[in-house]
Amino acid sequence: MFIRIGGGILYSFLEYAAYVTYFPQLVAGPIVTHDVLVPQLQDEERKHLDFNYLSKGIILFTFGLAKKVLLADVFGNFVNLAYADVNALNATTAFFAMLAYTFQIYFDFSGYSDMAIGLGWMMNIDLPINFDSPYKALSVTEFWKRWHMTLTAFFTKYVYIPLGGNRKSVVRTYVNIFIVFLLSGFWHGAGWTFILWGIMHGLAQMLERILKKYWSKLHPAFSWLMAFVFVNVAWIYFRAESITDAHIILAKMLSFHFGAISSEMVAVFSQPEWMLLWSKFAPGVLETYNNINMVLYFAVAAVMVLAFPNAKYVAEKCTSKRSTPFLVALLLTWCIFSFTGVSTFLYFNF
Amino acid sequence: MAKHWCRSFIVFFALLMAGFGGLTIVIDPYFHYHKPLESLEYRIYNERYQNDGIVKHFDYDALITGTSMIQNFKTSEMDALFGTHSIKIPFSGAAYKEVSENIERAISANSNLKTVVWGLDYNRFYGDFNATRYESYPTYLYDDNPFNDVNYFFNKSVAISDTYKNVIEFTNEGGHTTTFDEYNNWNGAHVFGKEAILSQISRPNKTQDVAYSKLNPQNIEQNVLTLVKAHPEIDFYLFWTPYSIISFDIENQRGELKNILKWEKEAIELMYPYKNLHLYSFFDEFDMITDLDNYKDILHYSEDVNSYILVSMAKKDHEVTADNYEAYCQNIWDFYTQYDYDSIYE
Repeated sequence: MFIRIGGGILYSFLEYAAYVTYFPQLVAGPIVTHDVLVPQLQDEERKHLDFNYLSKGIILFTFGLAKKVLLADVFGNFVNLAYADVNALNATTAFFAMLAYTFQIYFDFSGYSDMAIGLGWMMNIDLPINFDSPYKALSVTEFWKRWHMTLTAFFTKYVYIPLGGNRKSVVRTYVNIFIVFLLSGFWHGAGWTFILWGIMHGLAQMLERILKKYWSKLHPAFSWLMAFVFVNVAWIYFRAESITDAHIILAKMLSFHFGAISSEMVAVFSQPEWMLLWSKFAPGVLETYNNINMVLYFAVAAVMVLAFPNAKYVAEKCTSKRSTPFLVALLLTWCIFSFTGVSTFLYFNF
Repeated sequence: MAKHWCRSFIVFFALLMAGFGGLTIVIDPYFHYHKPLESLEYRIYNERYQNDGIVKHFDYDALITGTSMIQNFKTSEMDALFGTHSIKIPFSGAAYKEVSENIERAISANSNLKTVVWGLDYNRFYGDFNATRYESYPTYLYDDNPFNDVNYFFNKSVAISDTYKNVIEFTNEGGHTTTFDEYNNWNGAHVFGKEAILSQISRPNKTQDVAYSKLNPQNIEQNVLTLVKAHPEIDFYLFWTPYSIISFDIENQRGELKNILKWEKEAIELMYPYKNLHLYSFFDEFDMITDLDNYKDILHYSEDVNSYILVSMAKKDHEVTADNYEAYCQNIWDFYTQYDYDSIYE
């Protein structure tokens, strides 16, 4: 039994089935087209255990899992508390909630992609890179060349180019960009918040194209800041339960009514391993600086998204170092031990 | 090179997982596999995580259970009065069904169990009979599936906070395994008395009496009598948790008081026929109920009240029986429907 794909390519049923059910990327990408995956599945050279691929696959998978479990999930708990009651936020909490979601969604999604690529490598399959340090982008247009790159490629190939791309008129180019991002909004979820988020990104890129001459003359630090702030604000709409909630968060931030972050929210960052380390090596520090864990999480996340090279390249380098087997094993163990917590029962009364 | 990397990684990974996981399995801070090791001291504090291990692996022939209303009981007093060897398993905030199902688990785990003391929260017997708080339970500890135990022994909170801090470090610091007199006893942590209580509440406005309808018997039948009937070999010492006079005022203001008193009588009528069910009530101990120095809030009473409950049970004092329940019900009806509640707030 054979399956015919567009362009007249013929695959056996087994090859086609292996392609459509390829589990590493099935759930969360990267989006892989048949012409990337199936030839690798057919390649006899790849059908044996390759320790080189296996080792770098293990490393990248572990990096991805660490991004997801040790960072994204922790920021996620903070975000959930903040977005559950937006009216209760002060400006400080709203600001950190915005930033926390920016970090959460990046570490979550790029972590999944790293895990998928890592799993692929373990099976001698090369999956395309999906994230290339997107928060380093100096414009929204560049952001989309670095964020969920296979989705951008998919929309470019199947929507933007068929619509004429930038080959028709200037106006038509703008319309095409706008259509792509409107669709991207729909693709992310059936809700007005996602559609508005897509529209925001479409409009921002139209604006960047119009102002290209001026934009390119700006100091890179300034254009980075503009792009990063825009992406952050857009994520508020992406995450909020409703557009009204998103407006409230923005209003809270712009109210400049700064204040303390609630102890319940700060406690999200008090993971048991840090509490143990503080108590052993610097007792008393937490009593004086009870926000220190939270500050460190945000600082580490910021350094990672802005200064670190791509996990894929780091993974490839790590295989040649002597100390890495132990460190990667330790990181993987740490991740697995972080899957389940112990819930606190908050109802003492009754 | 790459082959060597993979081999080293697998060895380190296996050692780390087995080392940290094995430590929790061997020490077993939640008593999921065995009772406390003789050579170590354990801090017992986490009810939903540790109670199941306690009922499965400790030696006992009696247990005290219920909600925070039973946390101040001392099993040493119980044992002295009843000649038992008892444990205490509190479930903060639990409704009847949750406690009932946990008693059932204890019974099936321990055939020596002969006596159950169970505090029945007086504000729950007419409530939702299927209410539970299982959504936040560590269900992997409660089921018989050994595979999901990975959530227990590959768990950094357990490894760090319990296996290490609450057992290893606790032992090194000279701690001693929490006794059932101490287990979640909160008596010393609170201020008692009228001033403390009134600062926590706002008195509801008086509303019309809510129309009476018969008690839904399920809370008693499904959650209490099923156990009592199935286990005639076990004596169930049940008591209504003796809330303060202010709780009666609040129900009176809400127009619910008369209904609750009528429902109580209906509940008693469901329970008194059973020989192995001994129901106690202290609502006719009016001096105790109206003395706010016994309470930290409108419901929670001091450990002296817990001691008094045990002494009374041992003497069969305050037992509600077929012979005396009508007089008891009339007595408390007269008292609580005619009490001058405004005087509390003067």
